[in-house]
Amino acid sequence: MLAIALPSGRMLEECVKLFESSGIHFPTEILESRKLSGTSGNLKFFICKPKDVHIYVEYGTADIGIVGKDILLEERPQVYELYDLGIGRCRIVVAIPDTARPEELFFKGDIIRVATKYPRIAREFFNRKGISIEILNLSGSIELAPVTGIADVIVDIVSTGRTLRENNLKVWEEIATSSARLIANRASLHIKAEEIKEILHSLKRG
Amino acid sequence: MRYLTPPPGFRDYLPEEAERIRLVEETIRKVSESFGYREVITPTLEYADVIMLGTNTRDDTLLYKVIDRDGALLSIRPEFTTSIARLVTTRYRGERGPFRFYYIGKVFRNIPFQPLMQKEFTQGGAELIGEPSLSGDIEIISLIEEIFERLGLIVHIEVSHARIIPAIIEITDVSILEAIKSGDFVSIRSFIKDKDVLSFVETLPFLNGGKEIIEEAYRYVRYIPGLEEPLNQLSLFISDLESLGYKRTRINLGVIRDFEYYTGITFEGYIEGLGLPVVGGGRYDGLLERFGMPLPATGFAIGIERVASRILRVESEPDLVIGYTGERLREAMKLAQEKRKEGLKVELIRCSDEEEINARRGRSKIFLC
Repeated sequence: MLAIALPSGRMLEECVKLFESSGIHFPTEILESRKLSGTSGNLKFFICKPKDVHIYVEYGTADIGIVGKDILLEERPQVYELYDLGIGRCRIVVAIPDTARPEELFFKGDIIRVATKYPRIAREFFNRKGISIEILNLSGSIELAPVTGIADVIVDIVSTGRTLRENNLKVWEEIATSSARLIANRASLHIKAEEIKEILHSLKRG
Repeated sequence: MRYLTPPPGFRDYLPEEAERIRLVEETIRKVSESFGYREVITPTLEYADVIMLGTNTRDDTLLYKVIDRDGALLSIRPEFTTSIARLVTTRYRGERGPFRFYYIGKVFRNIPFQPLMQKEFTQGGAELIGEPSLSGDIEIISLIEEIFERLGLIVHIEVSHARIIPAIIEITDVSILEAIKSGDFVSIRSFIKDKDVLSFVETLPFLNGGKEIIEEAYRYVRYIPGLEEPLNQLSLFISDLESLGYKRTRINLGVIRDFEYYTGITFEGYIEGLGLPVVGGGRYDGLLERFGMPLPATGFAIGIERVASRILRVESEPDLVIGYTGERLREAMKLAQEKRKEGLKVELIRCSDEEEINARRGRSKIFLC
């Protein structure tokens, strides 16, 4: 029996599609109800918040999981990262107001307030640049922060860039790219290597 | 604000847990002694320089540090191997060994919160110093298998070799080291151009099993010449273990140990149901040289609390519970004294009726009223 943790929301739909094209049966009762777990053949599925997938895997409650690289970069869990599934592609960027000029914003010695869900990624990026910042840790709708003036810039993920445009923001720099990764618990990868290998092969084919 | 619980990463252990922990310790002690190992006790604090020299890391954020009266920077030990290397090189100067030492004690690591990880935990392990050949590594593995056998636990020991990753780096790029160390087998794609080398590195976490794995890995020696020597060693090692009947150990080239000092056979052991290794170790031939005495060495460390959490309850109820009412105190104490001399565990309870005694844990019960 192999337990797999999946992110809820938009990513779940993409994961289910991927499973279908890989010949892995996903228990549809999960989609049709509010159940957060289900079994299909030799696989047990858990549906959790995208930011929690790695926690289930790290504890070994789930043997494997699917999680965005953005979250791995931020949380640095002790798990094996096995495969880039190619879904959920996005970029982690620094975005600034349309009207702002980067050279004035960043290089005049002012302390910049950065709104983000990714405090670690943001801090490391600005540290490398030698720009003094203050982190404002928000949990969503980050684009609102510069509009309201609570922060000067944001560090967030963008996929199409539409939300940025509609809130009068533009990308200044890209910090990293992200996509969904297959991760595995350290012990599971050793003890259940054969089962994990099988899933990995199906996903690679799919 | 007053805190009433221990800080995060530190915890209490109640009697049932403490008993299991001590059982694991006793087992490590007995089995190690049966292999001719003797206990050493090293100080809890060492010079931070000594610890840093041993673990060879510039990242000292994981160490708890203390300033001594004279201003010297001390560190609470994060592990024992470095201290034992220091002990041998300073106290047995010029001797060649082999030394067989074991230890049991607390270690402290100032790590950020992580699941299943405590900042303070107990390590028990053994070091075989002065034995350069594979027979030393085999002895260490057989010692570990014996300990878990005695505890009634099935351990899966996964063996690799510390020179495999350097062999890959030699022909690719040093930047893959961080990725591989953190278990990231995705971003290595951007560093490795050669597709044969890439296919080897990508399959590393799945190269596990018996001798056939070595055969599979040998195919890559054409592209990664540095692989040949470690694979030869692993091949001999696993054949010897198999012929000796040790069957909990197999090859797993995906095992990467954190400590930088390893030079040869390395390993990690897992128990089903626990997400992290319960034992780890390997050969560290270069470590003692850093302290001025070049001696080969190999050893292991067991995470005692992790192992203890997988042990079924230890039966430790009192052999006899004596209940007594106030006026029978002397009589009860006298009886307890006699029974304790016979070697029984006796608990005395002052009470008013027999019901109270019957509700207590204990193999047999007497009520004096």
